[in-house]
Amino acid sequence: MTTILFSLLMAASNVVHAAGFEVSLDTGVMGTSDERWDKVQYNRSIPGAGLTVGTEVGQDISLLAGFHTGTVGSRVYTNGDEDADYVAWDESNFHIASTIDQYSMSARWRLNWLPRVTPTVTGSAIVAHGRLRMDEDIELEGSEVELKYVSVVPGASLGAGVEYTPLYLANKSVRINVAFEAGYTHFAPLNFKDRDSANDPMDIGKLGMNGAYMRWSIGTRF
Amino acid sequence: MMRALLPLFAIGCNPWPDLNETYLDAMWNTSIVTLDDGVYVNLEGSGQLVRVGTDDTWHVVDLDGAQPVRMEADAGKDRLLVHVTWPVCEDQSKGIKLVEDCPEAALSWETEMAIVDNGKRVAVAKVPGHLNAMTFTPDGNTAVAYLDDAQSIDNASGPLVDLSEILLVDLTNGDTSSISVGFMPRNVLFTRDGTRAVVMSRSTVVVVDLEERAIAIEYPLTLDADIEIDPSAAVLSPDDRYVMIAIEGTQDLYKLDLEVVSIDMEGLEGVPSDMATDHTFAQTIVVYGDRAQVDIITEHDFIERVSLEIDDPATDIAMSEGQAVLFNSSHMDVKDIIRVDLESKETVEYVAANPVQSLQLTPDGGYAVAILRPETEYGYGSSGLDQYQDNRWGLAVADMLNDNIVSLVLESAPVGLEVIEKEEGSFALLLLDGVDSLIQVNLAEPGNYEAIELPSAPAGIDASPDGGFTIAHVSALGQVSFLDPASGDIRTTSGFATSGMLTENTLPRRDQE
Repeated sequence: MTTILFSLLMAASNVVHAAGFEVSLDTGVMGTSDERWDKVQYNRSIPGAGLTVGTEVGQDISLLAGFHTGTVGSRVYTNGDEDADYVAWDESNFHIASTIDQYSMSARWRLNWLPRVTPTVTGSAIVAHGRLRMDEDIELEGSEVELKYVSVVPGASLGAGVEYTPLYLANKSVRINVAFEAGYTHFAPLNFKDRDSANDPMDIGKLGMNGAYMRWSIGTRF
Repeated sequence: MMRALLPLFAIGCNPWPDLNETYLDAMWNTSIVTLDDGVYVNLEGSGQLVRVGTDDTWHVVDLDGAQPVRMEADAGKDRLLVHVTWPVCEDQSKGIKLVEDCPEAALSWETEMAIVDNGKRVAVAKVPGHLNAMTFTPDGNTAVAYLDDAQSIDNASGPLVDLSEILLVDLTNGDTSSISVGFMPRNVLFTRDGTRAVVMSRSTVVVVDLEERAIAIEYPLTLDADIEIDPSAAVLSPDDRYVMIAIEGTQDLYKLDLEVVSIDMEGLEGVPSDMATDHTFAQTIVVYGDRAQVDIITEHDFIERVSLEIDDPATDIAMSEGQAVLFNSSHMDVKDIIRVDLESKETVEYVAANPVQSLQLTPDGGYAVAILRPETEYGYGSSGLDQYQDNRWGLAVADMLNDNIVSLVLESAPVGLEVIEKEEGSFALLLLDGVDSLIQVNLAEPGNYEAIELPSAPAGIDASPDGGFTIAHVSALGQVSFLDPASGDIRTTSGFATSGMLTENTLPRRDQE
């Protein structure tokens, strides 16, 4: 995955020389206050990376489409024998991970303040596709416990940031930007259900994803 | 510039999980209960009760927001009796929705017993949480709940706790009747017609009329209130007329007449450790933990008994038709299993390799299967093969027809043993700690066993009413296997313990408070 992202990153500077388009590679982290994330990852932060493309639709306004994905997870140790004098943490454990894919449509307003520094405000409508996976290694091959639950929810975000242009190319028709943005994201809670093992879907629970985010990117406008 | 940005990008760009570690309490309790409609599992992690069906479907039993604490099947394995608890927050503020939102001083826990039939809560009985033991009338429709001080005492809460209380619970509708029978009731017997219960407590024995739900007779075991007399074992005579009661630390046998209300005492030669009723020949068997003797009471009206001398004391009795099998589960230096022919009054002694921890008889009484515990942890006093066997768990199979015994050495401690009879003969199904196999021992040829591969290490086994077995596995996410003992087929279902694992602790029943 890293290899792919870096290849895209390096290719970004070779995008066609035209006007009014932009491409960026983003990475960032989103926090959440939902304590249920503790069972997935104790620090309740979800890293992510992705790609954003866009075009100018008016003066200082761009319309963007983006895809971001991030995975968090842990190795979970459970105490299987409450009466035991000590906890054999290595006896019964499993892996848990959640991958959140975000598909976004955004509007970005730019304030052309300085030649190389551009403040931005971005509002986004997002669809999040969450996957919760758990697996347990059972010694007999073919009997591994593997579980996967899926949820799709809408969300929105609003953030402000700044773009810095360290480099102009092609007679200033192409800008190489680095950018930072911070804001707040609100999603409907990811609602995971087991729909395969019961006539009535069995409720696994919810993971709320409301919190501040930070994102930094490298890209180009041309 | 790019060189500076690339490491920054690489640090932030981490779409894969970190190597975090999280610690959780067990998500499910491997003490499962198998009924006709499936296996019931207490999901301690999420506070849910789940039924895992034999058709590989899962179903959460609606307990109206309560969390299961412990559960058991009724006598006929028709219904599940679930002791549950739920939080009550006296602070009715609308902003309080979760348990953790409620101020500690305003939070309390209520208890009840839910009666579950075919996956649904069909009735609720107001059973206090501290009544931690139950026994059932012969027809199975009434349970007697009482406080067994040998078990852990849960949820002894509320402004008043009556430690002399028993509770009669109608299992068809959950109606309860509380009766004070004396401090610390510890043993309940039923007459075979199901009309009366005999309850032993400290210094008192009462007979409860189960139709009237009231005390019919009360027997004080002492007239001196300063003396405490604690019954240690009790049986009803074969004709249900007398109650024979052994007293802790004394050699006295109390005989309570239920027809002509009276108490007789019989002086014995030792302190009885166990008693059993033989309905075939209308006799009562008494063994002593401190005396190498077994007594057979052949006449109960005026106590006539036959005393048989044995090599070592026995502490426990297992009964089958026409015979009693005695063993000692307390003393590390006693390895005897003794068969007593209750007709001829003859004894046969079998010597196991290690001390007996527990013993089961096949339904026809042809075999006794005993779990043997390690004799010494480090094998002091023995060497070679003796030491090898002394240090390990074992399985002894005593053939009661041919009078021989075979002691086998086990790889690890047993976690489950069931004895079954099939067309081909009698078998023991054995599960060992950490061993991914079900060991099926042919009791006619104990050395010849069959290992049925399991998906993971077992944690326990439970018999199903239909003759099958359910095996709970050591699995964090939940795993049980259904065993058909006739064919040896095993079906496994996994992952049910995740139900509700990400739900919030919502305060239930707020509208009822």
